[in-house]
Amino acid sequence: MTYIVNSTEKTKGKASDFETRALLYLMALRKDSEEMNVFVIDFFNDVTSLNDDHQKLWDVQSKGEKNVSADKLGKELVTLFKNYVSLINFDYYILSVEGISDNILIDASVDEYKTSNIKSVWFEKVKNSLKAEALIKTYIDNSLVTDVNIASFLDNVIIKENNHEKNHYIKLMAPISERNMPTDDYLDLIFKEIRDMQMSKKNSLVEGEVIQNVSDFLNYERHIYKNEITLMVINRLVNSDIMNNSIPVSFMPELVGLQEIETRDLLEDCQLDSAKLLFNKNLSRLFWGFMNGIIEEINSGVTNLNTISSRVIASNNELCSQFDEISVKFFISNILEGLVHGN
Amino acid sequence: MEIKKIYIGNEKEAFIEKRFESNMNIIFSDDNNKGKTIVLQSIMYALGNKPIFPSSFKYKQYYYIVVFSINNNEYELMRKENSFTLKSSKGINIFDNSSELKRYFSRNIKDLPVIIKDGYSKLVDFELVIQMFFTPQDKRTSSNIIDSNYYKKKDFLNMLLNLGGLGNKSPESSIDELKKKLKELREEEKQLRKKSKTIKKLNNESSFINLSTDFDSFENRIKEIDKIKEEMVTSKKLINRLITRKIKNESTLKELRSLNQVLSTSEISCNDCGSKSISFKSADKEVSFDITNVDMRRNILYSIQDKIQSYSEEVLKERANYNEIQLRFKELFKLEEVTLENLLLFKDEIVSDYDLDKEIIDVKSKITETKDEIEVAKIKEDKNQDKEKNFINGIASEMNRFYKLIDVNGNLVFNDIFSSPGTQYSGSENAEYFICRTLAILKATNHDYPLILDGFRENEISTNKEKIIVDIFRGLSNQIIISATVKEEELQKYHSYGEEKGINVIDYSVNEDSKILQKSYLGEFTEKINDFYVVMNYEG
Repeated sequence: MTYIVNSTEKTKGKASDFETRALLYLMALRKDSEEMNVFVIDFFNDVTSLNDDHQKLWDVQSKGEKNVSADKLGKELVTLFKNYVSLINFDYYILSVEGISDNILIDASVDEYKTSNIKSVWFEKVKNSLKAEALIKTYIDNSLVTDVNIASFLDNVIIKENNHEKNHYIKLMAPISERNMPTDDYLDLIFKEIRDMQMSKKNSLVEGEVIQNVSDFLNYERHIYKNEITLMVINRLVNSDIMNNSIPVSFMPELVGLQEIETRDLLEDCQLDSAKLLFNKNLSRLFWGFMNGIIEEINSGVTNLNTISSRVIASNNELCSQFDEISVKFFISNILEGLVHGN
Repeated sequence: MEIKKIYIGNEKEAFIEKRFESNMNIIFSDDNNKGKTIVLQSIMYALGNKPIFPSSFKYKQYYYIVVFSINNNEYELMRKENSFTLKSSKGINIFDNSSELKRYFSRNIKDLPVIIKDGYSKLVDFELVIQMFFTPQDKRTSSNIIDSNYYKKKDFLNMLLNLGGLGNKSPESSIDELKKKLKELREEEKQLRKKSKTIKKLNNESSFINLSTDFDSFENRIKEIDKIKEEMVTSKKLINRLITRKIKNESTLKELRSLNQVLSTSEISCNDCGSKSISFKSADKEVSFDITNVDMRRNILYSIQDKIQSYSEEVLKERANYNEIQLRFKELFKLEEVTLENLLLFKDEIVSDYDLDKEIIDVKSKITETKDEIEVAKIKEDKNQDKEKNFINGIASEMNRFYKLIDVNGNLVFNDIFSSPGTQYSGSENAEYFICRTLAILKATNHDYPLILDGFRENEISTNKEKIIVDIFRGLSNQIIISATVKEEELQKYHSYGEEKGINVIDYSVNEDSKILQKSYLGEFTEKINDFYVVMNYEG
C-alpha cells in the first residue's frame, strides 16, 4: 500500500479554532470517543483519529464557515473523498463545519447528520460540485472520480455542525462538577493551549511524503495522544488554584490527632510543595508520567488514597523522592477530590 | 447577609440557637444573665470579631459555629481561638488567622471594603466591618471605635468612605504640614530616648519591703503578674510562628520564580529563507504541554503573595497586642504591693521608666500614623475632599434626622459620626446614639449586613421611643437581631410583637441563670462539629 500526503496547509485564526473544535469533537462529543487513542494533525486530513492498534480511523475535514451552500459543501468534501478512494480504509468520514445553510436541509434542527438530510435538489448540486472539484485536483486519480464512488462516498459522509462555545468542549473532557469548574475565560485559555499545540504540529514538511503503512505517521511527529490532552486538561481544571482548594476529603484522615496549629501548618506545607511540583519545568516528563499513573488508578475504580499513593509513588520514584510523602499524598488527594469526591 | 444559626460548645456542654428568621428578631428575657449577650457575641466572634464576652465566660474553651447565608448560598464558619474553618458547597477550607479568612471571603463570598493602612491598600478586617452593624452591650464608646488598638477611628471613617464609593484620602493636612509634623515627632522621639537613658531604674525605695498587711491582695497581684507573663509568652510565640510561616512562604515564592525562568532568550531562523518557523527536537521525547499555564502560575503566585501579606498584617496586629500587654505588665509594677521578691523574679521585665516608655511608644505610633497619612496624600491628589466631607456630614445629618424621629424632645445634636474626644454619651442617650449611627450608616452605604444590637434599650428607653425604634427596624430590608432585658410585666408585650408586628420573638427567660450552655445540646452540637472533621480537645 502507498499513500501520498497531500493538501496540507498552514492555517490562521478562525480556521485553526475550528480545527481544534474538530479535534475536540472527536475527543469528547462522540459516543465512540473512548475508542480513540491518537490524533494525527494535517496529515491524512485536517484531523484524523486512530484507535490503539491503528486499525480504526476517523477522518475529519474542518471548515470554519457558517451557512455553507450546497456548492461549497461539495467542494469541501474533496479531501475526504480523496481519502475515501485511497488505499487506506477509513471507518468514518466527517466534515466538521461551523454551519450549513438551513435552506438546503430537510431538518435544520439537528447538528449531526448524513447527506440524506440534504434536500434532493441541493444534494444534486453537492454531488456535481464534488465531482467537478475532484476532477481538477491533481492528487486524485481521475479514474476514481466515478458516479458510483461519489454516490457511495456521500452515503457514508457525516456532517457535523460543530459550533459550540470553546469552553463547552473543555467541560466535557473531565468529570468535574459545575460548581468546581473554573471560569469560562480560564477554560477558553485551555482551548487555546490545545489549539496552539495542534498548530505547532504543522511546522514540519510532509507534503508529498509517501507512506507504506498507516502507522508510518508516527515518524513525522504530527500526532498527539488523546491521553496527553486529557491529562493536561485534568491538571488545568483540578489544580487551577491549588493554594485555595478546599481540604480534600480523602486527606482528612491524615489530619486526625493533630493539633489545630499543626493541621494548618501541614496543609500549608503540602500546598507549597504542590506549587513547587507544578512550577518545575524540568520535571515535565516525570510529572506527566506521575499524573498518568494517578488517573489510571482512578479510572480503574480505585479511590482509596493510600492504595493509589503507594502504587503511584512506587512507580514514579524519580519524581516522588524529591518531595515529602505526605505532600505527594496531598497532591493525589486533590486530584481525587476534583474527579471523584468533590462531585 | 443573614444569620441563620449559632452553635457554641465543647465536649462537655453546648448551646444552639437556630430560631433566627430573615426579618426582625428580638431576643428578650426578664432578667440579666440569661445568655443573650453570649449568643450575640458568639455570632460576632465566629465571624472574626475580637472577643468581648462577659469576663466570667471562658470563651477560649469553646468552639463557635455560625451558619449564615449570602446571596442564597449557605456557609458554616467555625472558630476556635484564632483558627477558622469554613464549610460551603465548595468544600472545607481552613484558615490560619482572620487575615487569611477575610481574603478568601472577599474573593469568593462577598467583597470587603478596602482602606489604606500601614502604607498599603488592605482589605478591612471583620473586627472593623462588624462595627458598622453590630452594637455590643459593653464597651460602647461614642467618641471612638470599640477596642481601638490596631484600627483607629479614621480607619472606620475611611471604610465608610470606601463603601460610599469614595477613595481613601489623607486627612485635611497638606503633605507639607504632614512632613513638618513627622519631623517634629521624630525630634520628640529622639529627646525622649535621651531622657530615658539617663533616668534611673524603677525607684525601689517606695515599692518594696512594704510587707503588705493584705496578704490576699498581694497574692492576687502575683497571680495577675503570672497571667500577664503567660499572655506575653503566648503572644511572643504567636509572633515567632507567624514570622516563621511568612518566611517559609517568601522562600517558596522565590523558589517558584526561579523554577519558572525561561532559559533561552535567543532566536533561531533559517539561513536560506529567514523563516522562524523551525521546530527543535531534543534527544528526549518532547512533552506536548507545559505542566502549568499562565493562569495557573499567576493564581499560585498571587495566593502565596496573599498569604505573605496576611502574615505581615497578623504580625503587626500581634505586635500591637504585645505592646498593650507589656504596658499592662508595667502598670502592675507601679503599685506598692510589689515586693523585692517579685522584682528579683521578674527583673528581666522591669523597664527603666514606665512613663517615658509609654510616651515613646505613643510617639512611635504617631510617627507611623503620620507616615501613613503622607503616603496616602502622595498616592492620590485630594480632589474629592469636599465629597468626602459631604458624605460624612451626610451621615451625621441622617443621625440627627433619626434622632428627631425617635426622641422629638431630645437635646443631642450630632456634628460628626463620633462624639468629640472626652465627650461620652451615657445611658439612654448612648443607646440612641448607637441606634441612630447604625441606621445612618446603613442609609449611606446601603450595605446588606444584618443589624445586630445587644441591649438596644439600654437603661430603659421610654415605651414610646421603643415603639418608634422597633417600627423603624421593622421597615428595613436587612435582617435585624436585637436583644433586650425587660421587666416581667413587659413580657406579654414582647410576646405580642410576634402576632401583631410579625416579629420573631425569642424568649430567653426560661434559660438557667448564668448557665446557657447545657449537656442537652451536646448530641446535636457534636454532630455538627463532626461535619468539620474536628476531634475536640477540651482544654480545661
